[in-house]
This record gives sequence, structure tokens and C-alpha cells, in this order.
Amino acid sequence: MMEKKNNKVSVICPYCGAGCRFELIVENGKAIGIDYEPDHPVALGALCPKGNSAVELLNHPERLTFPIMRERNGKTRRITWDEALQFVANKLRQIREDFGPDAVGFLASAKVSNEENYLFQKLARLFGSPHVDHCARLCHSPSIVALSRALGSGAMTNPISDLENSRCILIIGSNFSENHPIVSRWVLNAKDRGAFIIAVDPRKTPTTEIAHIHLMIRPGTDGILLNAIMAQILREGLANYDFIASRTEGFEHLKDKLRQIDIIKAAKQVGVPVGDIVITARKYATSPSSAIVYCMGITQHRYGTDYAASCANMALLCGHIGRSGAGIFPLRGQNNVQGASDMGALAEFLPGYVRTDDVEKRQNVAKLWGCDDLPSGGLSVTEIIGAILDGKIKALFVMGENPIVSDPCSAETEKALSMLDLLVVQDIFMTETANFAHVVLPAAMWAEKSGSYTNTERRVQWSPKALNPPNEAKSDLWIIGNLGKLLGLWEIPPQPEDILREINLAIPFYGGITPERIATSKEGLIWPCLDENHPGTSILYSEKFHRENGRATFVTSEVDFEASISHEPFSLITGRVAVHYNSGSITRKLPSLLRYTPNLELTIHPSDASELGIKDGSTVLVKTAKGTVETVAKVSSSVRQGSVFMPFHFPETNRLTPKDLDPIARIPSFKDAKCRLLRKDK
Amino acid sequence: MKEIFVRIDRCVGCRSCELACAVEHSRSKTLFGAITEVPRPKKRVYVEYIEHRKVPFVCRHCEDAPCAKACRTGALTQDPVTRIVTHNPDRCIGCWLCVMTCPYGMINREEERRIAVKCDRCPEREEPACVSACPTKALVFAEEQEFTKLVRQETLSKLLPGYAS
Amino acid sequence: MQSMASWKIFINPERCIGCHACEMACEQTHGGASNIKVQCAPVFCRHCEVPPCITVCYRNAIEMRNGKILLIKDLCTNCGICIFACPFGAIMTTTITRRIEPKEKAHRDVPLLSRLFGGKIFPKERQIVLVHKCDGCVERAEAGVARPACAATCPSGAIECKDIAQASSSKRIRTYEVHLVTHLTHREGTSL
Repeated sequence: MMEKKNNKVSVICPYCGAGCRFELIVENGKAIGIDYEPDHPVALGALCPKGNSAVELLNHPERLTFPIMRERNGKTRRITWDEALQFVANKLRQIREDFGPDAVGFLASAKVSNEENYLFQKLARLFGSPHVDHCARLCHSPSIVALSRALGSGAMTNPISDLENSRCILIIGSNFSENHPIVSRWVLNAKDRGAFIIAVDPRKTPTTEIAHIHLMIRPGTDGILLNAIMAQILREGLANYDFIASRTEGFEHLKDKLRQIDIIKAAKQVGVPVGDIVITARKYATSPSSAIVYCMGITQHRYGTDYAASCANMALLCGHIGRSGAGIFPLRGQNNVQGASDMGALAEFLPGYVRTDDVEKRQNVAKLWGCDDLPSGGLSVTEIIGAILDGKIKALFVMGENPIVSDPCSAETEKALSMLDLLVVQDIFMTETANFAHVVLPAAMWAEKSGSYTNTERRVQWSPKALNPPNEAKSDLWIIGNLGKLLGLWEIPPQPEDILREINLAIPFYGGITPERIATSKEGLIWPCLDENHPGTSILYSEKFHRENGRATFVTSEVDFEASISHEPFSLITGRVAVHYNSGSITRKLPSLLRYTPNLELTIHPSDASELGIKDGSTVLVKTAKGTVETVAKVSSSVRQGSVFMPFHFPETNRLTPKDLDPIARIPSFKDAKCRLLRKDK
Repeated sequence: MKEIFVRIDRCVGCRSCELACAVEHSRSKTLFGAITEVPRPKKRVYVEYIEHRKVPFVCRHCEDAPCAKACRTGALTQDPVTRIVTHNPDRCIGCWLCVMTCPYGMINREEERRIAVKCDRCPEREEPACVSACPTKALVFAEEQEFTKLVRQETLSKLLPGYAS
Repeated sequence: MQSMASWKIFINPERCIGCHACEMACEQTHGGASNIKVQCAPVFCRHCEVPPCITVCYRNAIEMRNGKILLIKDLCTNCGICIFACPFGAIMTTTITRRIEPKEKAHRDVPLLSRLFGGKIFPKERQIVLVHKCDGCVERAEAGVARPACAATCPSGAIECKDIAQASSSKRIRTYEVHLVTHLTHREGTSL
């Protein structure tokens, strides 16, 4: 295992998907400080404000430290682990007997280790339920689906640090300066070397400030814009025909579609000067190596999968993929969301992205697990909520997720959770979701257990145990391992190293990522890593794509993007701010972070504000079809006229968002929300 | 006003400009004397070797100079007529804000007095020392119109032979 | 090898993304309040080489050691004159509340009326303004760690430890890479 250096233990950061490493200083079993690791390749030791809050987080007084049972009258009492696990196992078995295994849903976690997620989805499927999913559904499911279809794998193609080698970087729908701060360093390095930076975002953010040009688009017009840029590249003869001919297929269909595009009309619909579309097309296409960095602005739409596919199309059109400085960078948000996806904690996938509807491959996995077949036809996160409301799902096991705040349309989520016969929540704090649970299980934090985590670069890194969890809190692995034993699914709760060895067998591209290799390496191994001698693969697709014939395919959408433009005020854009993390269940409890953004604010353009009589700092009512909330207005021209912005780290925000899903990836269209605003008079 | 124009492709990296600059800012004003002086006189022009190129950098005495604006003590001041930015050692506190703001990296540090050092356009000379020293005429001291006229003449001298007959 | 004195903690304001990581790193390294304030860019002691703060301190509570300016807590009376002298507003203040124990000398400033009542009515707490500033992370340097905490943590590279000659040289090279190289490539093969 990793050497301890005078009680300094090197751990992976528990927050975003960048996968930074830092040293935790532990004295007498307590975390007392951190130090930086300048040799680590992801950020050269840098750490954003959230990473710097690690000690405060580990020592938080409101940690859950013993199992809790909530009675019908809402009163809670402390129970023992035996009582808790027996109760849960018995109740799950009873519900399976009365209603079938389909009546139980399992929400995995984007924050626990690979081993824990692997065991969790294995438990669910061996138990008989196909309904395993996690919050990747709410963020990058379109990337997984679209990029797998176009290129063969759904992941980021180059390491973050490789961005400094790009000569042109197109940032679309990403605010990495706030949400993946260390990415800024590499993009700024590229800029210092002469790279041209383009940002596309309906808002002005610290990220758009870095760019040479900022296309401040009308919300939801990303598809129209990307097609217009590609149409211009084609028109000016700047497409890379050698690359298209030798390494792709399906171009003719896209070419026909692009030929019909009038970029002047597109520029009007998108709300940017046509010259900016032309500059973007020329710079991206003619630079020796160009990168596309994208995030929620692309995925969280009704047509998120199509928008992500357009990003892939653009890279293929110009041959900017498969070499240093050229690639597609969908920035994954959580420290192990890439790993959770790889481990198959998704409704349509088993470990290694084996499709649950691929009978032969599914039965191979079943064989590895000692049975004949495994269930299929699982529902996604939001569909599970719908199924509960329809009375089809009676029990839900939630590990390290907070759907009341993260899912759209909170009123429905609340109603659904109240209807369950059994809700089990396994978490570190009493979250908004845990308040509804019948049984609350106290989990250990990341530094209190060993395991591997996969960052957005496909880098699998080992994070060793640095200290013990407080009181009776247990690692998620211990909990799931013992629950599985009680359910009769295995004899002995397994250790993390044993599970990783099984992962090496179950997932070919994790084949060489053995416990011995990564426990002694600070930079870990980047998949695909096929066997013990394989060094890992930093840059994907340098020789061939991961599709059957080795070629990539252009994915031409049949969707009429123009029909989806809505002109009503206001567009409600939800997103993130620098010091908070996702549902805020952690960061709203940490004073060192909360002091910078203590309250929810709605950002509104000065012209809109004055028209509605809204003053900076005054209270406003925000109304959508799903609900009404009250919040404070912040007047700023960082949003477009007709748009407003609310961070979703506060529970009010998702009370407003719509449940409409992208039909392919099933992601809720968070960023297509519309709202009305009213001044609240005192 | 006359400016120092740099014709980068003529630079051969001989560093005569750097030497001449240091000598001009010494007490003895001779090469031999300058080498033995304490404190050692410092150059204010720089020749960088980047890839296969030699690139000379001289202070631009920018319009609305960022260094003068950043200077909190008034050590760096810009003459409104000549546009020359001069450094007054008596007022300098060695805070290095000028180094941080200069986009071209033209300010350096004098170790003995621990203060900034930068180009003063050789106020006591007709022509700056670096320009006089340059053997290939990579550095040109001229009014802007004179220089662009020179560039046009050289362009035409290449273009016209193509129209011969 | 350059002496420690020539290494400066540089700020590149155009790289600052306003994340406040430097403030948090500073607080954790030193305990107490941050010596850095981020307002569009991080502001903290420049460790001037001809320091105005040392000139004005009548208690000689500020000294220069190994190129870094240090405030000696034991000698400092928190008078704040250095705050007026610093051209950058880089010397910070933090107000703390201190309990006053009975019989402390601080009772000299207890109002006369309270003392007449046998000292039974006296303030239990008092606000104290502490003056503090960046010390260049001398303790980390003495422990052999190359960079101050703020430079080590800064995600975007807005805070960097460099020596001045190197910093200026990097800027010249950057000027070439961003602005000059295309011009020269286009003129390659000419002798203009």
C-alpha cells in the first residue's frame, strides 16, 4: 500500500472528476491538515477551494455515526447494525416475494469507490432487480450514449494536461473555471503558447473571460450553432477529407444535411454575429490541433444526446482526434462518476458497458457471478421515481445520492419517496433525502476506506485508508458486503483488493489495473489497460476507433432543432458555483466554503429587472409548471436578456425544473426550463 | 518621436546590443571598465534564443504604459510628450508590480540595490546605444513614417523586377 | 543556484479565476484569518525589497529575513501604522473577541462608574484588532517545501514562485509565441 510519510497519507480528492491528489496529515487518528503534491500529473499539486475543505469535512460534528430507524410517526431512534441490516434484508426479501424483484430500485453513488459500486450493482442484479442507476443519468448520460455510438467509447479522449498542447480550444457549455478549476491552468498555458480560445455559453462566467471570443448564445441553440459551424467548415473547403475517408463512415448523410444550412439564418436564431460563427469555423478547422471541451450546457437538454453527437461530428469532420492537443473533453463532474459508469451502475449497462439487452454478453457476466442469467430492462433514475408514483416500485435503496435536491421536479420526488414501503439511505450526513428514509445507515468518508476511483481522464487511482470512520460509521463496502451476505448472495463480504481482481476479469479494459500496480503508483493507470504489462492509454483512437470495424461514424440527427427553440421569457438556466458541490449536502455544512456563497440567488439582466420592478437584493417569486419558490435577485449583465440563472446547490432550485427526458439517454432537460418571475412585495 | 523598430529576421544573436546597453549605463563608459565595475552595470535589452530564431526585445515605452500605471510610489513615470518611461531609483521599493504588469517582460532586477532596472532610451545620446551597436541594422531608430517608408521601398525593390520589360 | 532572496511570489492577475483557494490554503497553513484577499485577483504582501512598512514601524516589529518580510507578533502592538504605509493594502486586520479575566490590567479602561460599584459591573469581553500579513510561508521554506501554500494550491497558476529574471524571460517568450511567431512564419524566406 502507499507509504505513510510521517502520518501524511496521499489521497484522491472526494469532490469533482478532475482526480487531484493531496496529502492528508493525520495525527492520533484525526485529520489535522493537508499538503500539496507538486508531482501529480493532473494539476501539479494544485487544489481548488473545495479540495482545501477536506479537513473541515472529515471532522464535521453532524456526521452520521450510528444506524437510525424512523418510525411511522416520524420519530427516529438509534439501532444496532445487526438490527438495521436484518431489518433491511428481511423487508427486501418480503417485498420481492409480494411484488417481485422488479419492485425494488437501487441508486448507486458517483462518489464511492469502484469496488463499492461494482459490488452494489452486483448485489442488485443478483437480488433480481434490473433497476440500478445513478446520477450520471442527470449529467453525462448523453455523452456515454453519443460518444459510444460515434467513436466506440463514451469517455474523454485525452488527459486534461494535454489541453496545453492544443492550438485552438472550443469550450461549449462548460464553466470549468468554477467547476473544474484546475482545467483553467492547462487552457491558460495553451493560450500563453498562442492558442485561440473560443467560449460558447449563454452566460458570462470566469471561463468565458479566458476566451478570445465569447459566443453568448440563446439558451438551447447549441445544436443549431454546431451544425452552422460545421456547415461553414464544409463550405470553405476546410474539412479533413483524408481523415474522413480513411477513418470514418456515414459522412454523406451528414454532408447532405449540412449543405442545407443557411448560416445567416442560424446566426439570427442563435443570437450571435455571423462573423463569430465564421471565425470559430476557420480557427477550429485550420489549427494544427484543436480540442472541444464540453459539459452540462451540451448534455442537459431534450436533445442532449444529439448535441453531444454534434461535438463528435465536428471533431471527426476536421480530424481533430487521436493525437496530442486534439480530442473531445466531456468533463465528468464527480470524483468517481466515470468509475460508477464503468462498473455498470447504470440501467442499460453491466460492468464494462455490456448492454443488458445483449443476451450473450449478459449471460457471460452471469456465468462469472455463478448464475445463469441476469435481469434487464432497468429504469433510469427519474423513471424510477415515476414507477414509484405508479405503484410499481415499492422499495428504494439509496447509496450516497440526494435525489430530492438533484432530481428535477422535487415535489414529485418527495411524493414518491413518501409512498415507498421501504426507503433505505446510506450516507454521511442526514440529507434532504435521508429525512424521508425508514432506515438511515451511516457511511464512512472517502479517506476512511481504501478503494480505486476513476477520474474524467479514465485514470484509475488508488486512495488508501488514512484514518478510521467515527463511532459506528462503516465503509459502503462493509455495509453492502454484509447486506449481500444476509440476502444469501455470497458467503463472505469481500475486501476491496479482491473485488478489483474480479473487475480485472469482468472488464477487459480494466484488465491490467491490478491492486498491486495502482496501490504503489501516484498517477494510477489510464484505461484501456488490457493486461499486467500494458502501460495504459492516455490518448484514445490514435490508431483506430473502438467500433467493430475500427472506424468512427458520423451521427446525423433527424431532429428539427429549430422547432425546439422557445421564445417565451424567461429561460431558467440551472448550474453550479465555485465553492459548492452538487446538491450542497456537504458544502452547505462547511463554513469555510459557505461564507462565499451563503444563499441562493437568481441572476437577472438589468433590463429585465427594471421592467419587472425588481431591485438587486429584493425577493422574487419564481414560477414554473412544477412549482413556485422564493429567492433573492442579483441584477447582473452576466446573463442574457430573457434568461435567468439559479445554482442547484440549494433545494429550492430543482423544485422548478421539468421532468421531460431526452428520449435516448433519458437525461432530464434541466437547462430547457422556462419560468415566470414576479416581484414579491413586502 | 523616434521609436526603436526591430527587424527580427535580421538578428544574428551577436548580443552587441546587450553589451552596448550595459556599457552605456556604466560609470566608465568603456567595455573594460564596465566589466570590472561594482555594482556590475545591467543591460536593459534582451536577445532570446527561441527555437531556431534570435529575437531581440527592447522596451516599447508603451502609450499609457502599464508599468508606470502599476507603480505605486511614482518611481516609474511617463513623460507625456516624449512618451519615455523613466525609472527613478530613489523612489523604487522593489515591489515588482512593474515586472508583473509588463506584457513584454522588459523589466529586471538590480541585485545590489534590490530595485528595478529598465530602458531609459539613452537620454544622453543622439541614438540609443543598442541601435548604434547593431551590426546588421536589425534595430532601427526612426520616426514611424520613415520606417514604414523603408519597408515599402524594400518591398518594391523585390516586386518591381517581376514587372521588368 | 539563486539565493532564496531572489524568489518572488508572483501574481498573474489575468489567470485568477476568483475561486478563493489561496485564501483557504493560507488560513489552514497559518491558522486564523487569511493573509490574502481576493478581489478580482489575490492581493497580499509583495515582500518589497525596500519596504515602507519596516521604515515606519517604530517598534522594529517588522524585519526582513531571507528576502521575506516578517511581522514579529511579540513586538507588534497592532497599532496599524504599517497598514497606512503599505501601498498595496496587503497588511490585513482581523477582529477577535477576547474574554477579559478579572483582575487583568485591561480593567484600567473599565468605566469609572463600574469601578465605583466595586468592579461588579465590567465588560466580560473586548474586541481586539490583530494586524497580520503574509510571511512568505517561512515555516514551509524552513521545512524544505519549495512553494508557499497559496502558490502550491492555486488551480490556475495565478500565483507562482519565480525569480524575476526568469519571470521576465518567460514573458518575452510568451510575447513571441502569441504575437510574433505567425508574423515571422509568414515572412519566412524574405529578407525584409
